[in-house]
Order: sequence, then C-alpha cells, then structure tokens
Amino acid sequence: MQVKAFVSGTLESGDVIITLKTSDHVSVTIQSAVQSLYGDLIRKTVDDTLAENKVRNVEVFVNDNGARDFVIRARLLAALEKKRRGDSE
Amino acid sequence: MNKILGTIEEALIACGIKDGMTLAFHHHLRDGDYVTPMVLKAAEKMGIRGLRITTSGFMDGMARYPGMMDLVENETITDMDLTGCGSIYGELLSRGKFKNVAKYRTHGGRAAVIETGKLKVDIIFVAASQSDCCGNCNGIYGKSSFGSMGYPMVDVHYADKVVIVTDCLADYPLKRAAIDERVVDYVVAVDSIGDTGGIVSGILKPAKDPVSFKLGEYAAKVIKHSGFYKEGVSMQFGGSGISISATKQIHAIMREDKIHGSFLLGGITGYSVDMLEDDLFDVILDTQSFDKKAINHLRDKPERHREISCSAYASPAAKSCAVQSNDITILGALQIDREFNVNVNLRSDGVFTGGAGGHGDTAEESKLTLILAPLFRTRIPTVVKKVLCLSTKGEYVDAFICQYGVAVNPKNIELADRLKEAKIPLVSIEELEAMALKISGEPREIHFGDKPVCEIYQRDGMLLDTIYNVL
Amino acid sequence: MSKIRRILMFIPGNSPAMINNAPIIDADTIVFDLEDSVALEDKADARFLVKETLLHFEVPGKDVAVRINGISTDFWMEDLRAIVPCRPAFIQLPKTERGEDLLKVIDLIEKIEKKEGIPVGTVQVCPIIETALGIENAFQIAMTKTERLAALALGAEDLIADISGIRSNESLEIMYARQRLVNAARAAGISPSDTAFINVDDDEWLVKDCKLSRSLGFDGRAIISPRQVKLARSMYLPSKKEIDYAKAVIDAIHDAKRRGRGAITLNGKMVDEPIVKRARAVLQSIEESERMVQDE
Repeated sequence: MQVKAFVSGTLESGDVIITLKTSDHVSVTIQSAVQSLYGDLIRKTVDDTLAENKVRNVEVFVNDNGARDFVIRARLLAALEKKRRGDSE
Repeated sequence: MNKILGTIEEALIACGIKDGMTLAFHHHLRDGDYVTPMVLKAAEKMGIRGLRITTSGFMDGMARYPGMMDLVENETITDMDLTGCGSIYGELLSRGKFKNVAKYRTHGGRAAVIETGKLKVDIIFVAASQSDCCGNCNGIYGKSSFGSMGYPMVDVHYADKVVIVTDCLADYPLKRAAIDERVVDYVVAVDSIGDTGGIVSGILKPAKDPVSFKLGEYAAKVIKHSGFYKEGVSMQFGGSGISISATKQIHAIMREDKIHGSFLLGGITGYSVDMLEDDLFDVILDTQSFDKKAINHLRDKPERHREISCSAYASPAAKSCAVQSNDITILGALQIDREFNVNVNLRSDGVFTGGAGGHGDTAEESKLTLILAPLFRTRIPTVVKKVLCLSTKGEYVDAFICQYGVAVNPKNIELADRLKEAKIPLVSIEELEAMALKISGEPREIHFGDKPVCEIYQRDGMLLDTIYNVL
Repeated sequence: MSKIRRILMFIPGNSPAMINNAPIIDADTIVFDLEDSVALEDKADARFLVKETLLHFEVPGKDVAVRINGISTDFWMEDLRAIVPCRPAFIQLPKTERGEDLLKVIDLIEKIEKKEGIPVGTVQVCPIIETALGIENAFQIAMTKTERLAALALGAEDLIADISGIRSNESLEIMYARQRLVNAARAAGISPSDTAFINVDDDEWLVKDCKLSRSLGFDGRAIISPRQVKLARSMYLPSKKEIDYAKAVIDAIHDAKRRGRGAITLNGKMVDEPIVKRARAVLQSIEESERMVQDE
C-alpha cells in the first residue's frame, strides 16, 4: 500500500520543501544547500516544532535551499496540518 | 616567415616540453575555454608530468572539459599559481588533492613575479581569436572574440616560448595586434578556441532583484557624497550583476549632476561603454572585456578604449600602473570581518572559489575603496567575526555597503562625517555581524586539517595567509 | 483621520525570497498577500508562512498588513483565525461589495480579538473595491464601522473586467471609479488608496499615472514591484510648494490668534476649515515620513 506523502514549500531560494509520511516513529532526513554550516540548526528547528506539537509518528524529509528558521517552521506546520486533515479523512 | 604548426602536440614538442615545466595560460575565454584543456590533455597524453600551471583563472567551464579531473589525480598538474579559480578545481585544491602547495596572487602581483623573474614561465599558450602566420594577434576579431588580452600581454615578454592558438588565421600583417610577432615562437590553428556561449554571454545585465538594486542605490549615494565626485574622477567597477546595478545608477546620477570623469578602469561591461559614449568619461582602460558590447567597442573605438596589460594595470614592479591613478573602486567580497579584512578566495564551507583577481591591487591603490555585497547569500552571512581567508587587508577598505546600510571603516572619519551629513544610513560593522548572526543562527565551525594547500600572497609578495585542507 | 499611507508594497505570501526583502523596500506599509498572488493549491502553505512571518520576522519602521481571501471563498475565515492573533496593522478585504460583507468580517475579527485578549479595534480593515456594485456602494462601505477602517482602496483590474471596460495607460476607463472612491472616502473621513500600476517596466507612464492619481485626491497606492517604489513615493509626497503653503497656513492661524482675530487670512484671502485641516495633515505626514527616512 502506498504511504501518502504530505508536502509543503517550494524550491525557490530561501525556501524549503517538507515532505511528511506516516511512520511508527520520528525520523528526520535533511538535504540542504547549506548543510555543512546549518544542518544542525535545521535539525533543531524541525525537532523543536515536532515536540511542540507532540508529533511522534512521522518521517520528515527536508529539502532545504537556505530557508530561515521561521520558514522551516511554517512549512513544517503546514505539512503537519495537511497530514492531520488527510489522516482524518 | 611562417610559424604555423599543425597541432598543439607539435607545438609542445617544438617548445621542448619536459616534466616539471611551468605552463602559462589566460582566462579571457572564461567558461568557454578549449585551449587550456586541449594543451593540458595533449601534455598528459605525451606522458608529461609534474607541471606547474600559472593562469589568471582556472574556470569551471575549463574544469568540466572531459578528463580535466584526471590531470590532478595522475599528477600531470602538481602546482598551481593562480589569480582566480572556479569551485570545481577549487574543491580539489581545498581537499588537498594537488601534490604541492598552490599559490594565489592578485593580477598585479602575478605580473610582478613574472616581470622580476621570481616566477619563470617556460611556455605560454595564448588563445587569440585572430592571428596571422607570424603571431601578430588580437582578441577583437574572429568568431571567438573576447576583447582585451590584458593577462597574456605581460607573460609573452618573459616566457621562454610563446605559442599562439587561434581559430581564425588572417593574412599577414594584422591591422590590430595586442601581442605582436616579435615575441611569438609558434602559431597553431585549431577548429575552435572556445565555446562562444561560455566565452561571453551577450550583454551582461544589472541584477534586477531589490537587494542588488538597493546596493547600487547606496553605492551611487556614497560616491556622490564621498568628496571624490567631481570633474576628472576615475572609477573601477566589476562585472557582477551587483556591480552593473551600481554602474547603471552611478551613470544616472553623473548625467543628472553633469559630472565629467576622466577614465574607467578594469573589467569592462556594456554599461561602462554607455557611460563613455554618454560623454561622462574620456577613456576606458580595459584589462578584461566582459560582454559583447565591450568587445565590439574596443574593436571599433580604439582611440578612446585601450586594452592594457595587467602590468600596466597594477604591477608593483612597473614604474607606474593605472590603479595608482584611480580614484574610486567598487569591489565585492565573499566575507568581510570586524577589521574590514576581505575574503574573496574561500567560500564559507572552506572551498576555494572566485579569486583575488585585481581585488588587492585596486583596493590598496585606489583613493576610495568600497566593498559592495549583500548581507547574506542563501542564509550564509557576508559579515563575520574573522574571515576564513585573508585576501585583502582591512586597512585598504574604506566602507562596506550592504542592503541594510553602510559601515565606514573607523579609520576614515572624514568619509563617515560626509555620509552622516548626507543622511545615508550608517551602521557599524559589528551591528551588521550581529544582525546576520541573529537572522541566520550560529553556523557550525568549519574544520581544517594540518596539510597546507595554498598560500595567499599580497601584491608585493608578502604572504598574507596559508590555507589548510578542509575536512 | 486615518493614517496617510503612500506606498502599500504587495508581497506574495507564499514566497520566502520576496518576504525576506520586505525590510529594504522604502514603503510605509507592507501587505503580505494571501489572495490573487497565491495559487489555489498553495493557500494553506501561504497562510502558515504569513503567520510565522508576522510572528517572527521583523520589518522595522513599517506597518504590516495582510490581504486575505474574499468572503465568497472558502478561505477567509481560516485566514482571519490564523492572522488576526498576530496583530497586523490591518486586514485588506478584496472584492468588498456591500457594507454587510464588511460587517461580517469585522464581526469575526472582533470575536477573535476578544478570544485572544487583544483590545477590540486593534486590527483595522481596509476594504478593496473591485466591482461595479462595490463602487456604487462606496460611501455605504466607507461608513460601515468607519473607526475600524484603515483606508478605502481601489482594485482596477477586476473592476474593468466587471464593467467591460478596456484597460489603457490613460486610465479614463477607471476615472469615474477613482473619483467616486476618493469622494466616498473623504466624505467618511478616511484615506483613499489607489490601485496598482501593473505595467512594471513603464516608468514614464507610472509617473503620469501617479501624478493623475494624486491630483484626484489619493494619498497613495498599491505597488506590486519594488522597482516602482522610488518614483511612486516621490509623486505622493507633498511638494515643496504644498509644504510651504501648509506652513504659511499654520503661521496665519497663529498670527490671527495673536491679534485676537476670528477670521484667518492668507495673502488677502480667507482660509477656512478644510484648508486648515489639509495643512495640518500635510505637515503631520511630513513628520512621519521624515521619521521613516531616519529609521531606514
């Protein structure tokens, strides 16, 4: 059975694409244009946002093009909301 | 008299190519250069190893030519003595893949070591878009025209052997010659010296995004109130989208204020040509022609547009050079720190890219040195606590201009006063550093190993910095 | 008297790259857009992004507003629920046709303000009139909860389609709409805001249109390209002549007071109430504009 993916964001400079899939635990994979410098900070933003929202069962794929924290948060929250609605349908 | 040889290989043999020799090239063909790769691959095929390459730039376009990466691995090339480098070879350099430590210089600095014999060139291969059978050649005619031949104009007088490589043989004698036959040993005709799309991209345009526009706006304002903005002023701009945005806006204010300058210097774009044709300047001194408009203007209006060697441009070994007479220069930066030191060699992740070019030369000699750059490039701050690589000393920098305002070097109190009076938004370099940090967050520190990979030299030969391999 | 807003810079709400540029644009107001510059499939993404932007992204020296989706869409209520708690200076409501529509929106804003503990009236509204019916109802709209209204704006592109007009640089087709809107706004005591000039590469006509717009009585306009800001701003700022005249009027008032005279005269002519009001507004807006210049 195909696991549904919930996506938010674009590839433009300063943006990030967040893809969520339901899973039995949290896992975060990050691909970033600024990996060596900001990979850790991106991970922290994702972890913090998931924790804030008490999310424990998603696979998160982050495709980052230099997005600031608030953009990563926004895209992740939007994807989480899409997932919440998608799951309840 | 006929110096024509059939192939590049023949030329290498005729020049007595041996292991360990120093070969020189130029990068006027930018990303469309076939000559440098052709020569190096031919040398490799002949089994030549241990070459030192000296060039004004090792561009990514060249590095993408098939088999170029092997040359480093199999030690065809072991040494580099450069003034510029793209990130493909730059990465090899940063990771310590070259056998020996490389040297990075400014254009003027490179001219000086060649002129004084400190750097001995065995063979120089000069790509020329037009040549006759004796080696009189230029870069302004032919299908692969690229404009000024400022870089090789120095080397050819000091190299043991000079080979002209062209894809356009014309009858003897050429009417216009940037390099003339008296220094030329051989001429090789090939099908194509380069890819025209990579050599020159039509007409360069100003960057249209709001940040670049703002940078250009501030640059024009600062120049206007700098105290140098008067009859006879001379200027130097770069060829980046941001520089051109500045050029365009400076053009507008000079026209409005009816300021008549004397000369434009350095890398020339169509926008520089426009200023000359609008009678805002008398003459262009061209070390590198960036676009078609500049190239054609050099060809058509030589009485007001002259190509100059990078020795005449900036060599400290010359009796005098153009940068010494220049008033205002606008330059870029990858990084700038609290002391206004500038890094134009190393990316924030520790990989070599870009390069000094004439940065240090013109920063030191010009009366007003302005660094123009956005505060960020894809989240990565331009203003940092300490630069990863010291390319140009802060004492030569008068002000840093970004989209949030102008940071004047505290040493230049007069400039700060003038700009304050003109109500130009001033910020301290520390404020900008803090702003950048707040917005981007604290980056992970880049770690270097203990293998030196490159030495950075100031134009007078002083060692500015040693860069180690990035882990 | 509502605040004079000259340059309302529209920034597509789903574009982080453009949002990042907001601080360097010389506008007095930034409008993050959730409506026409955002594709249908991106509405949710944009809403979250604008919300986080309002909460975490600083735009010093400028007011921040949001254009939500119109009440005929499925999005407007969620837009308000996400955005109002972030306290933007005002909400722009597109395609406002009737006072009742405006009232619906203001009621929901008030509910949200109360729920979030925000003083009622904090988040203002700027109706955008973009249809023939809206133009007809301009005064009624302007008189609906006027104390909540930041301005009254015109949206020409949809309006021209609605009246089957033909767009032109000269803009005669929207002359009536412009004048009606200005009149309605002024009669209600609020600021009229003009439509955007959509030919972003035509500086010559931008200047002409701004000149016309200003002479009709608009305080400012929507701007859709940062490259238009500099020129547009210079057209809506009071001229030296206007400023000198305003100063002269204020001097004349003080003069009359000093002499104990009831009537105020300037250059032999009577100066009555509307002229005094205008003079004060001009000088106040200069002060604000100068403060903005210093903030930059």
